[in-house]
Amino acid sequence: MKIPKRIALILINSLKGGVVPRIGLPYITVGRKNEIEALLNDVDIIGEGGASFRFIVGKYGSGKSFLLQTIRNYVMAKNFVVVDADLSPERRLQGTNKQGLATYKELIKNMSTKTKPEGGALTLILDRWINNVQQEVIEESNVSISDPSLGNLVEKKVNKIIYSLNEMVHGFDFAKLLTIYYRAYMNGDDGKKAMVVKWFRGEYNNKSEAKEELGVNICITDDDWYEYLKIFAMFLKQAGYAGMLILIDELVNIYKIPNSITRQYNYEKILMMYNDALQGKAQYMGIIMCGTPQCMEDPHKGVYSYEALRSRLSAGHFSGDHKDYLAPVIHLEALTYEEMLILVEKLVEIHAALHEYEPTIKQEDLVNFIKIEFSRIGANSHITPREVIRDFIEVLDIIYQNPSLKVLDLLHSNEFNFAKTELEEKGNSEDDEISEFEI
Amino acid sequence: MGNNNDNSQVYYDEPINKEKRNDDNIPQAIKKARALEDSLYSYNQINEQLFYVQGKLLENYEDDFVYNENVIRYYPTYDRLSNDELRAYFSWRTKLRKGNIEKTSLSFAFLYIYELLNQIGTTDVSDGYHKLKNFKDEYTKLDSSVGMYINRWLNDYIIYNELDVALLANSKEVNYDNNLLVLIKHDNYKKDDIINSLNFLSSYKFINSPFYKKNKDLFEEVIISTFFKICTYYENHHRHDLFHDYFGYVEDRLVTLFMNCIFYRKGKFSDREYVIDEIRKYNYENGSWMVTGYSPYNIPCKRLGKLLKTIDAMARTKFNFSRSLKKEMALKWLDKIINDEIDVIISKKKETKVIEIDFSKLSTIRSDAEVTKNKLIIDEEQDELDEEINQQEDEDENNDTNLSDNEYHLLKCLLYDMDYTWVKNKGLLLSVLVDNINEKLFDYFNDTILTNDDKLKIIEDYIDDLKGMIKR
Repeated sequence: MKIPKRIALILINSLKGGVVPRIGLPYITVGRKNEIEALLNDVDIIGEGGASFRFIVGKYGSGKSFLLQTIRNYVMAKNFVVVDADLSPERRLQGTNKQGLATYKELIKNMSTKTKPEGGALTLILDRWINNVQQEVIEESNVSISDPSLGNLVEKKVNKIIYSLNEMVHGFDFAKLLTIYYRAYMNGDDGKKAMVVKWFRGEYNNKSEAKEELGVNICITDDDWYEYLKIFAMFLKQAGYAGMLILIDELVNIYKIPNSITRQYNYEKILMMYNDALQGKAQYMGIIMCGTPQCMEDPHKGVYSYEALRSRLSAGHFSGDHKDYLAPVIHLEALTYEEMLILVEKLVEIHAALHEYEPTIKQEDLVNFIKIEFSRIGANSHITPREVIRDFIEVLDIIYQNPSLKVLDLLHSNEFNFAKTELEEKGNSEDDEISEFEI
Repeated sequence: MGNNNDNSQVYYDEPINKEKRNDDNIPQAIKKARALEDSLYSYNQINEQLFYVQGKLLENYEDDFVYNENVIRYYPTYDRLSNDELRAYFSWRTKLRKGNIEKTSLSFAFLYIYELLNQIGTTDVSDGYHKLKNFKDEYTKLDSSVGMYINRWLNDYIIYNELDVALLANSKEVNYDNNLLVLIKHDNYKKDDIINSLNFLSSYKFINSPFYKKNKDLFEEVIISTFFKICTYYENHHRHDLFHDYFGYVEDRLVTLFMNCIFYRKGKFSDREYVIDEIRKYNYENGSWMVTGYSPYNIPCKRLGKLLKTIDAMARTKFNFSRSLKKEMALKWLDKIINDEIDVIISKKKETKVIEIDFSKLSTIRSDAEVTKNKLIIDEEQDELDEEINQQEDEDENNDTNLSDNEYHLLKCLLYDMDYTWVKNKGLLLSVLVDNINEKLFDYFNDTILTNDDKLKIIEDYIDDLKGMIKR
């Protein structure tokens, strides 16, 4: 396997630490061929001006986060902007305590591009947009950057570009803020620029605050934050990006909402987003939501408890053994033993490339490792690729440092401690010590 | 009293005058019952016979008397109540018999119970049982304080009157016996029954254990096999079996039926035996009741609780469960039995679990992974894109990277601590330049090389490499 050494290093270090690596995921992606193809197809649709909406459903340890990170890296490399947020009791899609707005704030805070993968890319995107417009005007009008007429020409161009946003809901407000940002840039007013960014981040508590600082009588609220995301997607396209991907994880936090009316409102929001994507009301935008089978399929509290969503999302009569990857819900099954075997095979190659040695581990050793790993008590219910990978890299490291040691001997020795599962590490916070004692 | 010789100060026995009660304006039936109290019966002592005779006399008496005072009498009988209280009682009883049950003074409730126990107001013993049961079910919803007593007396009633033993199915003692029998004759019972019985009898409720909740089948297997291994050990090494040690032994105990109750044992009561289950029976002999069975005072069994908690603790250690538990018992032979049993279970599990790998699928998985990898890696496309951009820009004679002149110059300034205010002077956006540099060199370094969070700077790891690319 040809793999840059830097990528190999990041891969091995991250995997040994039990975290999803930031880069290099294509080198360790095994299985999921159809799922990834479906998602890549969505990316193409988004890039052509369409929209997509997917649910990724899988049990704990089935690889949802890994798949999300893979797609995230891919789209960023394709010049998309990614916004992501994990739902929580404080962050929902709608709530009486601005929980919807909290989600929006998190999404915008985590706005990422290829060169700013950790988030915080909003200011860069705005600056890039201005820079692009400037460059266009310079080329079209054949003026130099120091020409005094450049400012007016750029402003005209800006107005023309953002005029197209006026047709969208809240488009006029959004365009107004862009104009203020541009003028602040022209005037060298960094303070004003920061206020506009604050506005885009949804950090103004009410209209009065926005009016006082920016002179605009509007601010993003819990009711309309999603509309602004749609406008962002259009704007990003004009700013030179390919589109926007929205990733929302931990859908279980909507499932856990105790009040059924509040849950219904949140599911209504999902329905609205879904309809917008499929009916052409959103452009250059994709949404992926992740959750467990229970939070999806529970007939009393899950997504399927909302009939409008259930009728649109649940599998039809003809699906069964054959999965429909064009359907909005992608079900992730756990990796098979065979897929795990190929995964550890890849790790051997990556480890060898990193440390520049010729691997001596044979397939028989890999098979033995897989068999021993999955023979552990509780493996059926709790073991995930994460633990298997951590254990295997430890094996590789030990064998690399002790070339005479045989893999089978190492695995059976008392010195080798298997990685604890995430559940074992966290403990179960729901259990009460008192339950062990009879009162 | 004393040594006084004066005759006027000698005291002699004299009758105690009863408090005068005005019986003139009371209903005839009550007057008739009251008349029985003036006979030779002892004053102020509980007289069951008087109670029974008066009760039978007033068995069908009805009244409609309004009396709102609370009546408090310990061991309430008719003769201890005033006329008004008596009439109030019968008024309440009249409504009750017509289906209108109301909360009343505790004394009245007990008086009614005494009547039923003594077959006052019943057609036969079966009718008495149903009335008692019905009263218990309905009245405890209004006042739960009679519950404890009526439960016990109801059981006594069944035994005393030799009613169907099935009526005792839900009693504490029968529950206890049934669960004990499951363990004693465990070969005849299913795993679930044994687990339920162990949990019922034990003071340590292991089904609430987090280890049990997460590994139910495994834990049940460990608990059952270990418990009976310990039973076997007892048989081979101890004088008594485990049940004797933990639950006592089957013994005869004197027992009083209808304790703390007004109950008239009328007529001659012949010797009899009433069998409840395989390990419990009641005997009446020579005027005394005896019960044969395990003592009920060992429920829940603390010793069993300690044993099961110890098994739980050791199983958690053996299976590396994250939450440990402290052992309650520390005996070498016990530790060995538990450890050995768990080891046997572990090795059995390893034998039964078979991991099969289908080697015929491997090449497809490999090729699919390769296809997926190639789809996800787009470095070649980015390289081509960068080349295209480079062709459109002026080239610095020293610039053999894919950076534009301005980008190259900025990087040079940062590397060699040179001033870069020219960026602003030229009307360029610093953030955009920085971003372009990061983007163009990303494929080479597979990371961003400039950071602009607090201050614009080059990430230290890449300075040497960059100096190799960009000379001063």
